[in-house]
Amino acid sequence: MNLRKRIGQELAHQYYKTIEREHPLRQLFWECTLRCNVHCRHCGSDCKRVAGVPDMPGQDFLRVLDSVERRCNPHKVFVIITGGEPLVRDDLEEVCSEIYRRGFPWGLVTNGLYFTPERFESLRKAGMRSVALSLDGLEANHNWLRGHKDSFRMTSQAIDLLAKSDILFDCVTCVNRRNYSELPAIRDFLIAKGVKYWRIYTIFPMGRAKDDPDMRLSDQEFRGVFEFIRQTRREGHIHANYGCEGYLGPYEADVRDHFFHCQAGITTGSVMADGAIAACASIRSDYNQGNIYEDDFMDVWEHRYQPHRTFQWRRTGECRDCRHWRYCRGNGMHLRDNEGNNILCHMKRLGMKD
Amino acid sequence: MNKIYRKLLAGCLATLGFAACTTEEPDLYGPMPVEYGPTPEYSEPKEVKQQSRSASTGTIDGQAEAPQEDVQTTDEPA
Ligand code: SF4
Ligand code: SF4
Repeated sequence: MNLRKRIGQELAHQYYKTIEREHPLRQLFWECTLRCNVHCRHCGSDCKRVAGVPDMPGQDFLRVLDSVERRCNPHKVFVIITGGEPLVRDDLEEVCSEIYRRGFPWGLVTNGLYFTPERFESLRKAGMRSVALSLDGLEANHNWLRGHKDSFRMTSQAIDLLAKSDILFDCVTCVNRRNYSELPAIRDFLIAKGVKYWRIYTIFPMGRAKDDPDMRLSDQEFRGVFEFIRQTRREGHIHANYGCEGYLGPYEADVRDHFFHCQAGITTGSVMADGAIAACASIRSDYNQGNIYEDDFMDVWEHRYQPHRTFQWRRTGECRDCRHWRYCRGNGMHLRDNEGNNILCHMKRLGMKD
Repeated sequence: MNKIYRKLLAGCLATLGFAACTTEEPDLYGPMPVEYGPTPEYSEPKEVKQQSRSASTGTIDGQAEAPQEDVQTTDEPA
């Protein structure tokens, strides 16, 4: 790491500490449903088309926003609608219009399958400001991963609609062994479509994906992903970013806009489908801090979340004596299991930990 | 004080050619979409009142556990 980056890393570390002291709520995820219209190989094996947890009534989430509005400027809190697949909800526009009327900008995370021109128009009218759209390969690989023959066609149509609009959007690609070699072709496809932002994340080896040879990247491929992103950013035709997880040592600030910082519980809160008050919606271990049916969201935000805002407890196992601790602090919270152990070290996979 | 220090650090980061993160970025609210009319301007909160919370419409009791995902995504906002 050169001197400029070293200084930048330290400044960013101090900068993040100022944010941790204030923990301003800036992103609020709403897991509005657990239902989904596809069956992705990299998603939960129990993410069924009709899940056991009913959709949260819109009014229940709007009461959370009432709590937020009393203590925050709603224009500064970005509501992110996620799932499951949010577009399976018929009342989405109705609820989201109310979100917007309360002063909150909102965005959508979608697989694109139900993103028709009509639906896009009604979402826009409901105040939608951004979209994160999944694209996991060119046609064969995308449809294979998503388990749906029309998925690529619909995602492609959604990209065209979004590229012509004023909505901020990015495409999100989960890299696995099958689509790894296709990355340059996906990049060219996105550039040709006029996509400006591309977010890439790596498959997380757990559960079914762990034993699936089509899924798991080799160490060499894992490193190759960062080389690819670095190169793509240098070329400058599309703004590629690695997802927010993982301290990446020499790749820091080369493959992402910012130096690593897990925002879970610091600027990011979530309301899960069962009412749980969580930090980041990607966290699946039980670090819930309350439940909207028992607690006031902002009381929880202001007075709990200690596991997310303190770090020493994470200094266990291989993190204990790690020389990267200062800037990594035990990786992202979604990589902690229920016992508090870190289950993936990016530096280790890059062969750069020691 | 914390805010001033943060701005200073963000300034130093920018001088070195690095982006600071998102807390100070402009909001994305933008103009109101069609037909809903203007939204009231935000004013700083006065006294924080406790709101009583009614029971939910049955999404908590007796429901199955939320599905666990095999693979974690980083679905931060666009
Ligand atoms: S061992 Fe822990 S602190 Fe060190 S780089 Fe890996 S995850 Fe980060
Ligand atoms: S928990 Fe993971 S996905 Fe969420 S903000 Fe932290 S690193 Fe990112």
